[in-house]
Amino acid sequence: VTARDRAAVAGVGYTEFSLDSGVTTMTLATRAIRRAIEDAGLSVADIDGLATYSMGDSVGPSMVAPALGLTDLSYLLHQVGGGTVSHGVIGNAMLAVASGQSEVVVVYRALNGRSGHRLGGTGTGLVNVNVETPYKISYGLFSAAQEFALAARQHMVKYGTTSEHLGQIAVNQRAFAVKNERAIKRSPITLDDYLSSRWIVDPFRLLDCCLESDGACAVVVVSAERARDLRQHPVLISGAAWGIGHTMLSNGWPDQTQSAVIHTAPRLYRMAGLRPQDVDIAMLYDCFTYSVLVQVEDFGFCDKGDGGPFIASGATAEGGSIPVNTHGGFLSEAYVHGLNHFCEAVQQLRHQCGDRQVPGAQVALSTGQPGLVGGESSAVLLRRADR
Amino acid sequence: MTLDHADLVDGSLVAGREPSFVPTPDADSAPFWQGLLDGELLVQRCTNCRRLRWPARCLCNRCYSEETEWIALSGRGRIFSWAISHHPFMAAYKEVVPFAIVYVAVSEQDDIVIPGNLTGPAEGLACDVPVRAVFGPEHGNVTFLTWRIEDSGER
Repeated sequence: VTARDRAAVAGVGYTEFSLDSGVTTMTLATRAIRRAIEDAGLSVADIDGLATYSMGDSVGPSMVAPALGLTDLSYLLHQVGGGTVSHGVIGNAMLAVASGQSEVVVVYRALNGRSGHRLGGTGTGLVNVNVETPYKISYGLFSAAQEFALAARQHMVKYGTTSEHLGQIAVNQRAFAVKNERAIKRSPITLDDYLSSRWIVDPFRLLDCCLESDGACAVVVVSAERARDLRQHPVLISGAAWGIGHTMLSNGWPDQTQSAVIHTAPRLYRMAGLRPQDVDIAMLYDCFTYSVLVQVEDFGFCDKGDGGPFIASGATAEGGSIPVNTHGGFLSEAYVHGLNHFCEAVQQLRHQCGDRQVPGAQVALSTGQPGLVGGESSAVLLRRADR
Repeated sequence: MTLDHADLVDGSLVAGREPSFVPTPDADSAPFWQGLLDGELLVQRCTNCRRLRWPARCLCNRCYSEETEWIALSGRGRIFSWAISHHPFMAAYKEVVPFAIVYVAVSEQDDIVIPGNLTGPAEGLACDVPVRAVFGPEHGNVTFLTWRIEDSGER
């Protein structure tokens, strides 16, 4: 017995995405949750589980539940972590529903990531407690941008990956964002624009890096049976997987051209009973362009090392064999720590994405950070229900 | 890649620059930090299976023995990866960009990878280039580890 296809996504909700929300994370969280519940055709009183994740920068279920007048929840989760755990929290909601622990679990992520705490940045300071941290930060190494840049360098040296390959990821995603009314960045860009954008941390330029933004997303998870009678076409959670790769502590770091996804992906495909060639669209965690490149390889859409040429071929762009980040991703839509990727995947499978809809999409992959920073990784496979 | 290495700020000006980041040694890591003060790069060696490990921690992740001895490495290694930070990310580093961040794989066991900055000339900075440990700069009661390219003609 597995949880394959036993839980479904019944609703998704968004706040506006901005650089300065002017409201608290409580406001963002409760708005996104109410919109997701409305999208599903349920009422707030139906919620019996709440789950989120944060880096200490947001409100947890113990505060959100009373704010929504909920006093009897059967499932609460506040996972410490960011993008690495994003899809693991959805996987936990899946398990809660599939086991019968809860009936209506809402997963949310709310953050003022630009106007409030900026991760690894110059804003208000929270330093993640990590055994490795003291050995890095004194050397000016405290941003995920720097750690991903160090990993990207190895891929460039080992496989001949170029700046143009990375740039094409940014260009493709912006082209999708032009068609997404939620996206913060909607002006088209060219490869020249990419190449002339300023260095952030060589080999990354400004346009390799995600936005920092304010906003929230929420997702309603119910049983597959219950989803059949609700407002939206059900989207089944066919698989969810967690993985752990290497960090400095593991003494087993052969190179950084492989991510923790090499452990996550086989479990994910096995649970879902699907193969890479069954996947129609992929929402790949794109804190930086290289994160997309390493994932198209490690999730098996192309051979190891061929990510650059694969992307240059147009395979991941509109009309390609596996369109990636059709919302524009963190690079162009907004940075909601993985949940905006998941919400886009759901809407694509509901065939509600208008001009950017991938025709007939049936299976979607949505992923968290591939573990190049922090070691952990998580991902989910979704399937449009037959109905 | 257009990079003028001559523009890089020397790692001796980068390492340890933010006072609040200067580490507080704990029960696991204190010998490592004391070693740097004494001019030695110390790592743990499992007394049972002889595997080296770093950063410091209580048990071997291969045989789970908690029996440990500290040994001094040669200080030689190779560049595992490198990046040039043009953006300071935090206020204390605004005056020292651009600076190099390096990961160094130590010669004794190449799955031990140590982050740091580059001291001395940066010409030839590339993956696999040999480097040698430099003990300094010092800030308070901590000596930071920086790395010098071996072939730079500066010893």
